[in-house]
Amino acid sequence: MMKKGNIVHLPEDLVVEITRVPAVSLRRLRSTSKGWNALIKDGRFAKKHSANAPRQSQVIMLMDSRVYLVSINLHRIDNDKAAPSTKINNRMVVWNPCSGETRWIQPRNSYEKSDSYALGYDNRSSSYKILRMDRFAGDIFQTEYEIFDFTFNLWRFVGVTTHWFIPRY
Amino acid sequence: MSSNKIVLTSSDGESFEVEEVVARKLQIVGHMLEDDCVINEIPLQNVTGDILSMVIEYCKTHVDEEESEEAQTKLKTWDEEFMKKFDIKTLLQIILAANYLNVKGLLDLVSQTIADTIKDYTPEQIREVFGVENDYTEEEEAEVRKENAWAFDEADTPKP
Repeated sequence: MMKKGNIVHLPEDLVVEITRVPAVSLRRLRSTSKGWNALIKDGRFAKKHSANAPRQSQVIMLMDSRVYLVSINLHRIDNDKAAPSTKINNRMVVWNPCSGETRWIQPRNSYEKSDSYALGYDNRSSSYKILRMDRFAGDIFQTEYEIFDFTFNLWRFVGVTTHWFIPRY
Repeated sequence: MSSNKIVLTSSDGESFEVEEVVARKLQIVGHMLEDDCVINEIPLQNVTGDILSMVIEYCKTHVDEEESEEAQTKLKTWDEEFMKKFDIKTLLQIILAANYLNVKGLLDLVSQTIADTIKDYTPEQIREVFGVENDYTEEEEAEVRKENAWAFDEADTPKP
């Protein structure tokens, strides 16, 4: 066994095994060393972690332009890259509370006050996506939909509906 | 059930005579037996006798895993009690052994036990236990801590 004095050095695989801790603890582990930080940020790790770690989730709420962090317990949620989004002055930033990374998302044209957004994870392409719904009144009410793909860093126009829309909550 | 005996020898020369079904719970042994079925003494270079004896104790208990709910509950209770016996340093020895000997159930159990133990550790405690060198500069460490501030002062945050 690899031993140095009384200290056991674990191979990377086993570090991944034992870090099946809640996301909050994981964040503390990141400041242990650069190596552990890099490992925790790794995609392979995130997959393993979300399969094994206790279910725990943070929800971001935006009230009066201030961001609030809310803890809730869910029985099943992918908590590793729950990347909530917020809009500041018609710019959009997405923050991953687990890795601490932020990403500014450029609009296809522009963001509107009336927009509503949803964040989702696409299992097939293993990527996060944002759905933007822009509802506006012309001759009739219509809603435009576009989807942002984090892998390609691109917005894609999906279509327009006039007969139905997804209500905001 | 075969009553064939196998002798497992640790890196420090300790020998354990176990039933073949128990030895097969160590997948490394299982593979060796498949390759050459006449072996009856197996040297295990990467594990010491004190740790190997604990792995064997686990394997003996788990040798016939019954499906009934009652048996599963009993086994789970045994696992919990078994894990309580060890401090973090011993747990780390066991995880290395479980990994090397390829005992899936034990690897899973001990991983979870270590995770439960370290989840409230400070970075300093983690470094000490795992022999991880702090390779951040002071500025870098302050920066990472700042990014993660809410994970450090969780206790001060009002609970909903």
